[in-house]
Amino acid sequence: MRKLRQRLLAMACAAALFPAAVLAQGQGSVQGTVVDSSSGQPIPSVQVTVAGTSLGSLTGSDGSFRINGVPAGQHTVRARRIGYGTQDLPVSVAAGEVANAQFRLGSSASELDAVVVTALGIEQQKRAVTNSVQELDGSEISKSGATNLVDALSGNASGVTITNSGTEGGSSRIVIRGASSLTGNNQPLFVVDGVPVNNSATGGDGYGAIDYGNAIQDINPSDIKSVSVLKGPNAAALYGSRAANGVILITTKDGRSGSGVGITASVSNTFETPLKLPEYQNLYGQGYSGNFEFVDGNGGGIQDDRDESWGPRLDAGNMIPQWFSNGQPAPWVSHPDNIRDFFETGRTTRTNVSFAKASEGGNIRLSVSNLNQKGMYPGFKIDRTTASVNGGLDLTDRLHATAYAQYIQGDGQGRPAQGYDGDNFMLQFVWFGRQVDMKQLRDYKNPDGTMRNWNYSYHNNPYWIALENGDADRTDRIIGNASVTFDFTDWLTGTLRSGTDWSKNGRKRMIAPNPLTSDYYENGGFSTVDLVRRETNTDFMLTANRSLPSDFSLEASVGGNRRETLGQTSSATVYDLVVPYVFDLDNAAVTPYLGDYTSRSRMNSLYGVARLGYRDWAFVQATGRNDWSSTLPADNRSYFYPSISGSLVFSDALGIGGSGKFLSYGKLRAGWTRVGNDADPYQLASVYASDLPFGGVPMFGAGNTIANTELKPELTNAWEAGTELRFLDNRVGLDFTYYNKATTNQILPVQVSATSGYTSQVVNAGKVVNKGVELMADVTPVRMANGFEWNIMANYGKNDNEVVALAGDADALVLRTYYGLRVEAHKGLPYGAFYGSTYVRDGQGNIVVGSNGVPLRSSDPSYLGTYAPDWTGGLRNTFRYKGASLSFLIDTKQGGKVYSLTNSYGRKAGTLVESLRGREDSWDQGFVVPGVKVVGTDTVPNDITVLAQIYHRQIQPLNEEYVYDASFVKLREVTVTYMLPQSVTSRLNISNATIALIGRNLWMHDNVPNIDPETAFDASNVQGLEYGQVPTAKSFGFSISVTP
Amino acid sequence: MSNNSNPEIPMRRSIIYGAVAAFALVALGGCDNGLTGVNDNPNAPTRVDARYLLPNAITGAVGLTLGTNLHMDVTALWAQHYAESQYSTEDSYDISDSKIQGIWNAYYSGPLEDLHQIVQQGEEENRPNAAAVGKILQAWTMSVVTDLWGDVPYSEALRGMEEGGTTTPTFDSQQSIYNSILADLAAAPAQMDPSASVIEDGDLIYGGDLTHWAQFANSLRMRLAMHLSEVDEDKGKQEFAAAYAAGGFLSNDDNAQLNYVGDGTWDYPIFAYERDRDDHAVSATMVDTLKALSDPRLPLYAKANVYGTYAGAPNGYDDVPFRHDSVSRIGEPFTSATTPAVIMSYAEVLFLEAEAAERGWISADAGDLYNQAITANMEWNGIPQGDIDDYLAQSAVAYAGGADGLRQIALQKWIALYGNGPEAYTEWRRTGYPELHAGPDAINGGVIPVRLPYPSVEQALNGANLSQAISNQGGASLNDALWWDK
Repeated sequence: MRKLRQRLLAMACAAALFPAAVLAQGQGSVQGTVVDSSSGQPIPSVQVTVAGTSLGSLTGSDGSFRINGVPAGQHTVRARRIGYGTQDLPVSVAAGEVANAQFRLGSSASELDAVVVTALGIEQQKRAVTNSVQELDGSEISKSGATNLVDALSGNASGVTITNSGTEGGSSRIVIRGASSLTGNNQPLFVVDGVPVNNSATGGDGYGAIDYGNAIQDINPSDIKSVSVLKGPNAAALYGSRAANGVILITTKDGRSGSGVGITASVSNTFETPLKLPEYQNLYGQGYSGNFEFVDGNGGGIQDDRDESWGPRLDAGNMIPQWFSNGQPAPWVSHPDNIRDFFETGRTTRTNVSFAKASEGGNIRLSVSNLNQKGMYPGFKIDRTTASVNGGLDLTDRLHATAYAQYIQGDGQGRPAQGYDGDNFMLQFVWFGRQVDMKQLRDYKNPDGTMRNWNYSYHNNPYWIALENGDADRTDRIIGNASVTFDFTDWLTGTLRSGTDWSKNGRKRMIAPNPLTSDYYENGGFSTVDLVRRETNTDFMLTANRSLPSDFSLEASVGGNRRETLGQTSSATVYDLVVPYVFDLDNAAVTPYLGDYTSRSRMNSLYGVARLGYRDWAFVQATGRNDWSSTLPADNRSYFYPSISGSLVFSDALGIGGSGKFLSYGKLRAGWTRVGNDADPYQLASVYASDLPFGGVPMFGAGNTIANTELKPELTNAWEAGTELRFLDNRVGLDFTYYNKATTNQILPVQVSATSGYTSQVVNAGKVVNKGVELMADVTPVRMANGFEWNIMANYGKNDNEVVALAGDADALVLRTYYGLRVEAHKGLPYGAFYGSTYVRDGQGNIVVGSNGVPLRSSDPSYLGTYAPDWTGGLRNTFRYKGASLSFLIDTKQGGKVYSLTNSYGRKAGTLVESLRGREDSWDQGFVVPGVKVVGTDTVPNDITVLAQIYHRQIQPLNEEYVYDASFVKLREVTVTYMLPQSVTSRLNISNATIALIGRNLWMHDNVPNIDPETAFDASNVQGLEYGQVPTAKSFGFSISVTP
Repeated sequence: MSNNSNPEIPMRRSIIYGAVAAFALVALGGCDNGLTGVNDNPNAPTRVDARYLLPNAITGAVGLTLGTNLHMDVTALWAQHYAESQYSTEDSYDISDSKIQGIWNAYYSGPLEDLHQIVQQGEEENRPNAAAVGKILQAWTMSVVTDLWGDVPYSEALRGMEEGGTTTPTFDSQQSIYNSILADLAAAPAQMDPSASVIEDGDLIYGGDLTHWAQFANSLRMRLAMHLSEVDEDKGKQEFAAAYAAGGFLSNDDNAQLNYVGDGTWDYPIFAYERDRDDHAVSATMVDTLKALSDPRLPLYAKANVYGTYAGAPNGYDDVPFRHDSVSRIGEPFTSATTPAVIMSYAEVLFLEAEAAERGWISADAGDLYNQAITANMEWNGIPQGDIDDYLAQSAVAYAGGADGLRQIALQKWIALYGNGPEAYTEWRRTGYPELHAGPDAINGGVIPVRLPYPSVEQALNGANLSQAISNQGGASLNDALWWDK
C-alpha cells in the first residue's frame, strides 16, 4: 500500500510541475465580461471556467476575462463568485477564433445558487448546506493588512473570538463558540486544501518566555483563495475529533485563478507605531520618601538601589547626583516622553509575485512572497519567504491529479520576552526612574564592555536587553499534498490523497555576560530549543452522486483516513560559558541541561456521509465516523460518532419568496452531532524522570502523575438550529444560529493530594456546556444606477459558557495562578474564572481600612469574573463607486476581564499617573481612603491619612483593584482601494492595477488604564493576564498590485 | 486511455474498480492494526532500579530540608540564624500558602515517594541493604515532615500508584509516627547484611559503608528520642539508652552529610541562590551571641560588612532600618559551591548524649560530653585547638550542670546547628532556649510560630482526613504547638 501511495504521490507531483506538457490541437479562446445584474457594474475576481475541463480564469478589475486554449466545439462556460450566484452560458468555440460570453451575476434567482466551500473542500450550493458556515474571500484576508491569518478573521465572523497577543509576530488565539475542553485544545482545526495543518503555539508563561506566534501565520495570505469557517462540530465526521472545535478551511489559489497573462505582482508597505502606551507621572523621580542620591545604583547612595519613583520632586530646581553625572549634582528634571523615545517606527513590507496558467488538461500557479518586518522596538526583525506551487492535471478524461506544495522559510530576531522577566523592556518601564532620559541610555556599553545603566541592583539597560542579549529563531516548513481522482462512472468518483505538514523551528536565546542576568552565571549563557513537527494524513474516498426517481437526489461518500503525528523537541541550556559571547555548546563552562522529547500517535478512521435531497429545497445529511486511536487503551480505542442535520428552503417549498417579493429566500436548518476525542500520547503509563548526574552518579525519580490504564474517549454532544433569510431582492440578509454544545468525559489531569506520592492523576471527568447565538446581517442601503453602492455587514456572537462538573466533587481546577490571581475552571461558572483577593467591606459596602489607613484585604479569594467576553461583534461598511472603494471594520468585544500587573506594579513603583493620588502637591502629603475604619466592634468613617507611597505599595496584592473590564471597540481596518481605469492601464500596457491605503488598529476605545485590554502571553487556555504588555501596533500604509 | 472513450464504463470494469476500492478501504483503513506499540513512551523508563532512585531521594531530601526552601527561607529565620535583609516576609512570619504547599508537595511526591519505592524494591527483591538504607532515610525525612506539621499521612501515604492504594490517605498522629520510625531505626542496623551488595554508587552519603549507616540510624534514634523529653520521658529514655548502647557517630568523619560537587550543576543550594539574589544576612541574634562569647566561629559564620566589621541584621523589619551593605552576609564556608549539607553531625550526637547524661537517661559525664561536643564542632570548623581551649575556659562557656547546664547545652547546640535550620528550630521549640523574640514588624501577634499550617489545597483534596487531623490536634495554626512541644 505504501508503495502504491508513494508512486501516486510521485506521479501527482510530476503532473503538477509539468502541466504545460499537455497541449492539444484545434484550440480557440473565450473572452467576455462579468457584470452585476442589478447595478451593471463589472465584478472582479469572478471565477470563469469551461465545464468539463480544468480551464479557467478570474475576471480583472474591469470584469473582463479571457480563457485561451479551449478545444474547439460546444462548451458550457460557468461564472461564479462567492456571494453571487452561478451562471452557465453555452459557447461555441472555433479553432483559432475568439468566442464571446457576457455574464450578468447577482440576480435574485441566481443568489439561491451561491456556493460555499464546505468540509472536504466540496463546493456546495448554499441552499444545501445544513450547518453554519461563513466564508471569506481571499482578497479580504490579504487586504486586511494583518500579518497573521487569524487576525484577519477578527471582526469578520460571528461567534468567533480572537485574541491577539498584541506582540508583533506573536500569537493570536481563535475560539469558536466558546471553550469546551477544560485542559485541552480549544482552537479550531486548520485545513489547507483538505489536509489538516499545524497551528500550534509555544511560549508565553508570563515569566519571560517569548511568544513565537501560532503556526498558521506561516501561511501566505496572498495564496489564499477563500477561507470557510465551519462553526459547529459537524465537520468532525470528515476531519476527526479535532474538528469538534470547528474548522477553518483554507482553499489556496490554483492556476485557474490567474487572469490576463497570469502574472500578478504586489507590494505593500505599512508603518507601525504604538497604539497605546501607559500614562506615566512626571512629578516625581526615582527614590523613596522623597529622597534620592546616586552613588553606585546598588544601595551605596541614598535610595539609589530603588527602581521606583517615590523620590524627589521633578522640575523644582533640584540638583541631585545621577547615574550619568559622576557624583556631581545634575538638574533633576522630567522627561515625559522617555518611554516613547524608546520606540521607533516599525515597517512591514510584503512583496508577492505569482504566475498562473491554465490550458487544456492542466493548470499551474507559482507564487513567491516575502514578509519583511522591522519592529517598533530596537532589535526586532522578522523575515519570511514563502514559495508555493499548485497545479492540476487531467491525465485522461477520467483521471485527474492535483498537487500543492508550499515551502516557508522564516527568520526572526530580537523578539521581546513576555511578562515578568528582566528581558522584557516594558517590565523595566513599569519599574523605572521617571527622570531617566532615554536618549542617554542609548549608549549602553562602557568602553570595557560592561553595561552603563540608571540602576545596578535590578535592571539591565533596556538597550542592552534589546541589542546585547539576543534571540534568534528560524522556521522551515513544508506543507504539501497530492491527490488523484478517478471518475469510475459519471456518478461515482474515487479520490486518493495524501498530505504532510512538516516544520522545524530552531530557537536560541543568548544572555550576554552581566552580573544582573538572573539564573545565568558571570560569563553569560544561552538556551536553544529545536522543535520538529510532522503530521501526515492519507485519505481515500469514494463518492456517489445520483439523481433518484421522483425528485430525489443522493450524494454519498465513504472514506478512510490514516493520521500520523510526530513531534520532537530537543533543548539545551547552558548557564555559564568559558569564553563570553561564544554561544555554543562546546563553549559551556558547566554541564549543559539537555532535554529531548518525542511524541507519536497514529489514528485510523473510516467515515461515511450521505446527503439526500428532495426537489432542491429539502436536504438531509447523515455522517458517521469510527476512529481507532493509538493513545487509548486497546479496549477503548475504537469509538464511533454520528451526526444528522437537515435544511429546508421554505421559500421554495411554500412558493412564498422570490424576485419582487418581500422575502427573497428563506431557509431553516438544524443538526445534531456527537464527536469522540482521544487522549494525548503516553497517558497510560507513569514514567520516571532523570536529573543531571551528581558527580557522575546518574539518577531517576518517580514521576508526579498517576497514569490511567482505563481512559475512555471524550465526548462532545452538540445541536444547532438556524435560519437564513433574504429580503427585498437580496438587499437585506439575515443569518441566525442557536447552538448548544456539551463536552463530557474529558481527559484531564486532576490534582490529587501529594501525600499519595503523586500530585496529579489522569481521569475522565468534567462537563462544560456552551450555548449561544450567532447573528450575521448584511444590508445594502444604497445602490445607485451610477454604480455607487453602500454595503453594511454586521455580525454578533454571544456565548454562555458553564463548567457544569469537574472530577468527583471538586469545585475548581486551577489552570494557573499568576500573582495571587487564580484562573480556574470553576463549577457553576464560566470557564476561565478569576479568583482573587478582594477589599474587606462592611455591611453597607464601604471599604474597611486597617490601622494604617490602607484598605484591608480579604483572605478568602472571591470570584472576580472571567476572561471570556459576553459578546463579540463586527461592523463593516463598504462604499464602492466605479473602481474605488472605501471599507472600514469596527471590531468589539464586550465584557470579560483582564488582570493587569502593569497597573498593579506600576502604581506600586510610583511610575504611573495613578500613583500621584495622595502626592499631588508633595511626596508626604498623604490622603484619606474613602471608607470606614474599625473602632471596637463598630465602623466609623475613615480619617486616617496614609502616604501615597505606603498606600500604593500595600494595595498592590489586592487582586480586585487590578481586575478590569476588558471591553473594547477598535477601528480594526480601514482600506481605500482604487483600481486604475482601463483607459490608464491600457496606456501603461498592463491589464489592471490597484492601489490601496491600508490602516489597521487605528483607534481604540476601552476602559482599562495604561494597557490595551486585548492582550495575551500566548494562545493557551489561560488568558486575561497582563504584565509588562508590549504595546499593540497601530499600522498604516499602502499597497500596489499590478497584473501586466 | 483514449480521449474519446465512452463515458459509461462497462459494468464489469466498474465491479473491478469497486473491488480495488474495497481492498484499499480495508488495507489503508487498517482499523485496529498498526496501533499497538505506538503509544509506548520512548522518552522515559516506566521502571527504574533502586540504585538510581537513591541518589534522587538523597539530593531531593537534603536539598529540601537543608537548602533554600525550608532551611534558608523559613526555619533558619525562625531560629534566628539568618535574617532577611530586604523584603522581610517569612522573617515576619508572613508565610504564603503556596510556599507551604510547595514544601509539602515536594516532600511527598519527591524523596518520600522515591524512598517508599526503594524500600519496596528492597523487600520484594530480597535486597536487605537497600531496604534498610531506604528506611533510615525515610525515618529522617518523615521526622522532618512531622516536626513541621505534627499529624501527617504516613501509614497510608505514598501508595497512589499501588493496587488498592489511595489518593486520600488518613493522617497518623505524630506519636504513632514517632513510634513507627523509632522502631524502623531500631530494626534497620540488624536488617543489614554485610555479605549482600550495598546500593553501590547510588549512596551519595556513605558510598555503601553499612557501618556508617548503622551509626547514623542509632544517632538519629537518639535525636528523635530526645525530642520526646517533654512529652514522654519514659519512652525517650528507653529509646535513647538503647540507641546509645548500639552506638552513634564516633568522629566528625562519621557525619551524615552530602558533599556537593560544586560543578555548577550540583552546587550547595544557598550558593546557587546567591548567584542571583542577595537578600539574606546573618541574624543579629547569632552575631551578638557569638560576639558575647568571643566565639572564633564568628568570621566563619558571617562575612564582614562594608566597614570591615561584623553586624547582624535584626529579624523581622518590614522596611529595614539599616543600609543593605552594613550587615554581615552568611559566611563563605557556609555559602560556597561545595559547602556540605550536614544532616546530622558527631557534635550533635555529643550534645544529645550530654543532655541525656544530665537528664540521667544514660550514665556518663554531661560536662565532659558537652566540652567534647563543642570541640567536635569547632574542629569541624577548623578552629585551632588553642582557640578551642580558650573558648571552653570562659566562665560563660564552662559547663555549669543542672538546669543551667541544659540551657548551655541548648545554646551551644543552637550555635553548632548553624546550617541546619530545621533541627535548630525544632530544638528551640523543645527547649525554649536560646530566648528568641519576634521582630518589630512581625505579624502573627508578635509571636514566633511553632509549626507550619497545612497547605490549603489539602482541604480541597483530602478534606475529611485533614479536618479530622486538625481536630485531633486541637488546631493547626502557626501558634498551635505540636504533640512533643508541651
